[in-house]
Amino acid sequence: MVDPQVLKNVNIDPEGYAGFAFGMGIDRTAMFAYQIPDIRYFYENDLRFTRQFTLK
Amino acid sequence: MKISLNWLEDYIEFDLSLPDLIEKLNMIGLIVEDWEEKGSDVILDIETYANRPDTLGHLGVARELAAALELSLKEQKWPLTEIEQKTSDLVDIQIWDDDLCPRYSGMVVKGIRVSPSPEWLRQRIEAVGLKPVNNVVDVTNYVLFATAHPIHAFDLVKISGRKIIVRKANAGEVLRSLENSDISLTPEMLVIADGKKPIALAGIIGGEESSVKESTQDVFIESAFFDPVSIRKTSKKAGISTDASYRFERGADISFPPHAALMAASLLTQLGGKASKGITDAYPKPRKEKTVVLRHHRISDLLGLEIDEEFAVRTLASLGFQVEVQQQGVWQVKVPQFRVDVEREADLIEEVARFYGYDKIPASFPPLRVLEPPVERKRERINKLRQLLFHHGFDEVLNFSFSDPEKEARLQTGQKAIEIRNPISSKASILKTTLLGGLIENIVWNKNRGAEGIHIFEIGNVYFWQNETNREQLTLALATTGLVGPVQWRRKSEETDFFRVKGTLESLLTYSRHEPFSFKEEDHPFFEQQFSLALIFKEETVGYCGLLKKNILDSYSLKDPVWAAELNLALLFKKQPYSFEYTPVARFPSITRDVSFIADQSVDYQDIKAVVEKLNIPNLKEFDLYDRFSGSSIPKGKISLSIRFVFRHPQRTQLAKEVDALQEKIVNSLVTKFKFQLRKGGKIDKRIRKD
Repeated sequence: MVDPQVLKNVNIDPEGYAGFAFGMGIDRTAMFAYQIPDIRYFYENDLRFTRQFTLK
Repeated sequence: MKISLNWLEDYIEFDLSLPDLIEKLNMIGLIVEDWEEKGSDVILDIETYANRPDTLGHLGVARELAAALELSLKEQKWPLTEIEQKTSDLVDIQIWDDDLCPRYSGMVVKGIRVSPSPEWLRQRIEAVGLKPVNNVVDVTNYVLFATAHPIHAFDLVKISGRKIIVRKANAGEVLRSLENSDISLTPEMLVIADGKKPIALAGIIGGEESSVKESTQDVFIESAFFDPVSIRKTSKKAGISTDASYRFERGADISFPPHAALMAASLLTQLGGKASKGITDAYPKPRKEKTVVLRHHRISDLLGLEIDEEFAVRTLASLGFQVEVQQQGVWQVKVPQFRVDVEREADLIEEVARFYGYDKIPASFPPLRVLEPPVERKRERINKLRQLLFHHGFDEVLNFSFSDPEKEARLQTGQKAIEIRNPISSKASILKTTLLGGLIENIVWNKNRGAEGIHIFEIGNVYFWQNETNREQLTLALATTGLVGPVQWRRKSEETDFFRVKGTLESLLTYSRHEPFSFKEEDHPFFEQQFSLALIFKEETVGYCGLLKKNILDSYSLKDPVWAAELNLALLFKKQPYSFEYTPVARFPSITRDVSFIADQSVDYQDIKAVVEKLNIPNLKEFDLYDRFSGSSIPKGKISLSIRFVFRHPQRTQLAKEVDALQEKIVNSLVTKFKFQLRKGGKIDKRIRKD
């Protein structure tokens, strides 16, 4: 969670808003987009996985 | 920070295995980096946070652990053997700089015989990795590692004038430290001085002269609070870092000095000394405890989960916070002064979360779904299909839209052609109703010029009358004949075939995500009956493929078979492609079964497929026809079909006996429906595929 002071410093009212900080790498984005439950799938190079995203 | 489990048990009684204890400490942020057995004791090496100096002692760690285990701390008693003399009569404490030293307490213990410490104390000192020195020094170290509050002992007789003056050093003053090095003092350094000269570098290191030696009988115990920034700067400048300075520079507990002095005095009296009466406590500007307002609804606002009021209050109370109800759901929380890190409501909420367990905060995917990009413009979609066809080895051709009515008549598209009012020639007097006419002419042209394999496509409009209006329709056509690829010594060139056309269509539809599609045998004016398929998507025919009829080929004097397809792109593009969804990859091995049947030659695989699919067997992941043949071993009019079935359980390894049952179910229904005969004699293939 973003420290309320950080929000204050950028003129956002911490009473009205809560900040959630996270790394938004391209793999994480793909996890959201395709509902992939485990980030390791991207690095296993399991062809049954990667093939789903290629031109057939 | 080294933490001894035996020492911890002075404060808290717990019954946990070592791995459970380590897990518990890790979960509340006290990371156990290492541990070792030392006799009957276990020493943990705990990584603490820079803003949590209270955890730099056993008491602080015990307090955290007690909160996590919902236990209470044991009460400790510090009895004294006192003499009549008052501390204030024995030592005169003066604070000259109460910014850098807001509090200074002390006690005197008289009549000590400086000697080696008793066994229990030696063990404690050795547990934290120090060497026992003597009973007085060991007691000061004991208090430091027990409470995280550093104290110091002076030899009372070496304090000139019995005066303790806390002041800044004068330029040119020098202090010979306990480590026997001379420290040149500068005016911003805070020192403890007696009537004449500095006797200690405040909060960092004592002086050699006033230190406790074997000859010492009476000691003055200093227990103070020094400004963290000043300690840090002085420690840096003097190049000396000690267990004391390490704690003071992170922030000590300003409420604690008298208690630390009392602890030391009590221990020393237990070792034979006698304490002076009353603690001298110079605290000119007492500091109030910080008060922070905590609202219950802010807990769920920040953490995203509901935590009941009782848990929040109980947790904070067990950590030493005083919680008072201000109104319903709002508390006034007094922060204990050893918690230098807690300043705001969010800090309190963090404490609640820490003991609730970060691991218990559920992980959930934000409701974010892949956004379907707006349907691309026609031109872009066409370009994509074009690229795909290039990959499949097709070349693009471009023919005129004008067509010869005579040639058009051979193809019999069934469409009423649009005539051109003022044609340039009678051989170009109508608009084409199919692209295939052009493609066939291209094949003829290239064949006549020696080409052995011709694989071409065209994307363009066809034109016709429909309901009294003239229509143009975007169409894709492809045709393939002859050899695939160059003639080469290493590999035999293959003749193109039906599967090349059908496969290309499948590829196009899969790529443009028009799935699921299917093929259906259907008569078509261009195609031979046996090789004529309609392509169905969403219950509409979007295209055809097959082998061009012999009479058409003859009319162009073509001898070799030409396989062709035509796809109604206008219709296809109107249909919404399906949204891409990722399918989880199977984590468990599958079981493959190959089954062969004797069937009537008339049976269609598409029908077999429909029957198997209708059985709706969830663990049947894929199946396909992999062999068909007829020959001398097969009765006339019959054909042998082999189908491969792949079974997989989503959560575990599929068992062979389960597959036996499923296989029997499939076989029975096929045998009943199509009067198949199971080809027996062969072994059942029980291979397990690792995929």
